[in-house]
Amino acid sequence: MLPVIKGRVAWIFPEPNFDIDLIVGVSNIKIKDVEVLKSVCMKDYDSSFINKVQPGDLIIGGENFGYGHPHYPAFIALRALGISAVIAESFAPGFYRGETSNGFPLIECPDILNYVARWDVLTLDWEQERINNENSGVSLRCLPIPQKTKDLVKHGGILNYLRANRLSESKS
Amino acid sequence: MGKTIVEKILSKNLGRSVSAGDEALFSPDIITAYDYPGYIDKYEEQLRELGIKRVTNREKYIFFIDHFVPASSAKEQELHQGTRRFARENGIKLVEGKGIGHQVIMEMGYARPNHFIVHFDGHISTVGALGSLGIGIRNSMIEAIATEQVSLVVPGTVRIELEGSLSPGVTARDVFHTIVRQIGPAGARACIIEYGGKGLKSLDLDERMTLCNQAMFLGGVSSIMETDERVYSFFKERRLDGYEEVGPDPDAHYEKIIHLNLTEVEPVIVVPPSPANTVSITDVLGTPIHSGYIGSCASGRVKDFEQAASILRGRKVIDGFRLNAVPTSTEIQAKISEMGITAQLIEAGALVSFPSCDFCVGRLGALADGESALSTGTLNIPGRMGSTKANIYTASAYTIAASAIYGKITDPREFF
Repeated sequence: MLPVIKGRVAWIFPEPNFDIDLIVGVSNIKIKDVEVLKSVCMKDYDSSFINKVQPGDLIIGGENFGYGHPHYPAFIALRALGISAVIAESFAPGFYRGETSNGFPLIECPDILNYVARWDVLTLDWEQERINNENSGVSLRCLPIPQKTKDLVKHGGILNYLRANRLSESKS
Repeated sequence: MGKTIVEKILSKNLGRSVSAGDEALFSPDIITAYDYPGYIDKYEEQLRELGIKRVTNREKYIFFIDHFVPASSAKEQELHQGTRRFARENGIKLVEGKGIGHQVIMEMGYARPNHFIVHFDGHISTVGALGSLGIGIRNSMIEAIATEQVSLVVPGTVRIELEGSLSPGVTARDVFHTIVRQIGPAGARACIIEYGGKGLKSLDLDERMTLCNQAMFLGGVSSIMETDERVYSFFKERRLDGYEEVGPDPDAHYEKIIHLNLTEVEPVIVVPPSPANTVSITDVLGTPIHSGYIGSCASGRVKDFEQAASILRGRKVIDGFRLNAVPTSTEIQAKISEMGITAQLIEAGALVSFPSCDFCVGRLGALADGESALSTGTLNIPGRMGSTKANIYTASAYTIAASAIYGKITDPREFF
């Protein structure tokens, strides 16, 4: 089943071509310890972010979010802090493939930056492919969400997706 | 409706006609990777979790050891040992000590025109210079390894039609970053960048590889080029099989077509903190620079060293400036030695090193707080080459050589 996406906007990155390594700081991208990654996460943007964020919260991004060399630690940290999805104007293709393979929902919504403020509560309607802003009542159309993305999210990542859809008994 | 190059390659791969927007399972001709913590070691773990004992069709695989080379600690060597064991157990070709995989895969004949190659790293787009489609599929590598198929939506194509030829002192690096400046870092987002036109024929393969290498900095999925007699010669000189002609249909549909006259391109500099920030060299002339690096999978080929040597020959790198010249492969290293370039660079004061990815990521030749480097590496985000308080500017080999003489950003056209 697809997860319920309903959460507060914990942060908005309006800048286009945002390099996600900056979320934990480039000097921290080799850290493997999740607790350490959590402790450095978003420090350069809001020093008390980790105290404010709640499970289910969302990140909002601009155009080509995930540009550059997107390494995995930033979203290991954000997911561990409870971030449940990123809704952005658009994503860099490498970042999109990498994070959706990890089972993480990335949703493209071209108008999103115009209709959200920090801490607004948004819900995603997977069926209708719409984002609803519960504070303002505005409903925004997303770009079509690829079936593969839905499958990866539903299965919680590439391994379970492969087990369920692509691997026959004879292969094992 | 005619097809773009990527539509033709993926249609051939699938055995039926596909166009941009179609989703299907494609079968990579080659599956490649380099060892780095969390990659090949992880695939081994994932295969185990999926209950798969061995990869099938081992002839499709080629792995490289090009990071942490040579190993500087027991821990790094243990990583390599794990890769060597995994490759041996699976009968996978493993190449180490030959240089950066994105280059060596071409020199060894694994990147053929019309073939489809997957890697986790998007710089595999370099092979587009040979008419080969290389796509970085990141964490879905296990999909390729476990099933030998990857699901892809056939990307649309941005066509870059090149005209003219480069002016003195101007390089393929300048061309690429000029394109980023012109169409923006998202200008080819989620598309294949297809290069062609008469201007392409004026560029040699080293220059074409530089252009293809950086597709991701235009937001691209990959790059690909028409083939011609230069690509044919690349295969013939190395006695490699598999040359085929690659080109789009005349009535192919493009998302957009960009015209660029190479003659009008001027030297540019990519300024910190991102590959998105390209400026004219004239905007940053005189900026103090402490270190230079010519190398990486983006540059570091014979052409780059020829360019650097043409400026440094008979001149000296200024005292206190560290110039690292790092050939991308041992084939290139041998060639520039044979051409006398290595000696000229050494005579000028450069440190000519062995092929390795490690300079590009600051494991070697690292920068300290407050320093500035000029680099032909791929990326200039703060911290990429050491301290997050160091500035990385990317530029051409000509610009780096000229700047090394004065210790500040210098227009290489002064030397022509």
